[in-house]
Amino acid sequence: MSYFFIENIMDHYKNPRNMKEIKDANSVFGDSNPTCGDTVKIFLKVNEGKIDDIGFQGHGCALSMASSSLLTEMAKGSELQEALKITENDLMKELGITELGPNRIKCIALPVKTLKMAIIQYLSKANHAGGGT
Amino acid sequence: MIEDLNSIRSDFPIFEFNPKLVYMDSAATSQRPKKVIDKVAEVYTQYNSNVHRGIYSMAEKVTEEYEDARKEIAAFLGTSAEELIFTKNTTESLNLVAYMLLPKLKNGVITITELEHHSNILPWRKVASLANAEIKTVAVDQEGKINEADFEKKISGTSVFSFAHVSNVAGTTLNAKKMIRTAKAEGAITVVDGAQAAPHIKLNLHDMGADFYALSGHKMLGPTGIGILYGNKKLLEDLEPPFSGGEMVKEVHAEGQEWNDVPWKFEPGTPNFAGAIGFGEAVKYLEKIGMGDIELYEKKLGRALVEELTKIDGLEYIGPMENRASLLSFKLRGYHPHDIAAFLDTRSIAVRSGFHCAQPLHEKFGFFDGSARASLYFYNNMEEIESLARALKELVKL
Ligand SMILES: Cc1ncc(COP(=O)(O)O)c(C=O)c1O
Repeated sequence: MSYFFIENIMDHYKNPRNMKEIKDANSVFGDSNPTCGDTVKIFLKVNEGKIDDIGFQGHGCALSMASSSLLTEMAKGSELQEALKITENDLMKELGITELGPNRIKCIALPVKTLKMAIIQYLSKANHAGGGT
Repeated sequence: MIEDLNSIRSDFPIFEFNPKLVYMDSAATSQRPKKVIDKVAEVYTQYNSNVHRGIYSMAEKVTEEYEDARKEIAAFLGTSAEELIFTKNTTESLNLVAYMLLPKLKNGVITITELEHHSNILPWRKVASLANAEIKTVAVDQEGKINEADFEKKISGTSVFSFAHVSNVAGTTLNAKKMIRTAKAEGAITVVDGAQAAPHIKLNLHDMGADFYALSGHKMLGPTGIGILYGNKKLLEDLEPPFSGGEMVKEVHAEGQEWNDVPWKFEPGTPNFAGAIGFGEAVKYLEKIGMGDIELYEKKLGRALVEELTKIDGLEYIGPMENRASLLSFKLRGYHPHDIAAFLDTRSIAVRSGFHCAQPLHEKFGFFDGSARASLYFYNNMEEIESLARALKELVKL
């Protein structure tokens, strides 16, 4: 079934969750898909190894925006190490999509990749700041 | 007149295999008639052997078919056969001519237009950096038509002028003959990207006066992997081949060699002979229908496309209202182009979405997410345009 008729996707697309900038975020990472111009920026507020708050801003097709929105819901409150494990397949399952062509999988991969980079960026900063940990 | 569209459509097996398909992505690649598919199979099943090599009868046969295809295409384009170089596509043709002209570009000026496909921008950027040449870009107006004053200004002092005959995004057709005359008066060598013109317009390249003309077989019923670079004979004889190897040389000695005659000196290695022979068959098919008739019929399609789609609330498009090619690049307020294409796919309508390899042009018109593009060929009909409009109206209501 086309994603157009999957309620969950259209709901996330039309009413995105956590679509916000977090002013005092401790990691912000943005990326884009050069072929279609989709952009996603993720804001993380991390506290004791857990994602206390997460926000995203972005621009793109229904799939990329719905998956960004859903991803923030999945990641919120979870341990960084758990959030790092979220894959495109997990997102597809949550969204209710059974298959996606190679051209469209990129739309879902973008937020997944962006979240990973935001976490890795946070961890490497924390390592440096922590001095010796 | 194209009267019996049903009989034309039945020549294309894809429509039999996909009876519901509304194919509107012919600017990316066209469909192919059975005759062309069969011809390629004939080469491989009946006389497959390498061209210009063996002296046994099968090798003679394949060489004859290959060179006959070149003659067929030459007649179709209004050139002589020795002026046609087989390449793999327009992109390779444009790269080849850019490298052929490299020695003439030192500290020179290359002029292109804002309508160009990436394939007519990047090869020039590459040789410009090697030759320390400058690139100038002729502006287009709000309708995607050439800004004449800017053209007059930028063409002066140009060494090479390269432009798209028909824009694959705006659907503008340029007055090639007139622009070439102006450019030549300034001493420029002229190169035309004919990828979107050759499939749709009756051409006579000698009359047009272009020095080089590039096109792709796969956009005009031919097989994939075969293209043409036309070059004026005098220039081809003078220019050095940028690439070398077998096939393109007459004599090779321990020291020194003599290049082959034109056009073969620009065709190193085993060519895509099955593709070339299939392309010859495609051109025969187009001749049978008649390019004049195709042009007339597609004008109607282009007009209907604009008329029907502009009735849709929130739809914006790039390019002129009148006199346009039978393609339309558009966006719909509130919908990303990928979502438009994905929705149309649920109605078996195939359109392309994205930047169509012309990102600067989209940015100029404020289409930062790209566009959805419906591009038609003579096998499309009015009912299909109505289906497209109906589906878009459905999407807007969703
Ligand atoms: C105007 C124009 N130029 C060049 C090309 C490149 O053609 P090809 O991909 O066959 O090399 C295309 C097609 O995509 C085109 O529309």
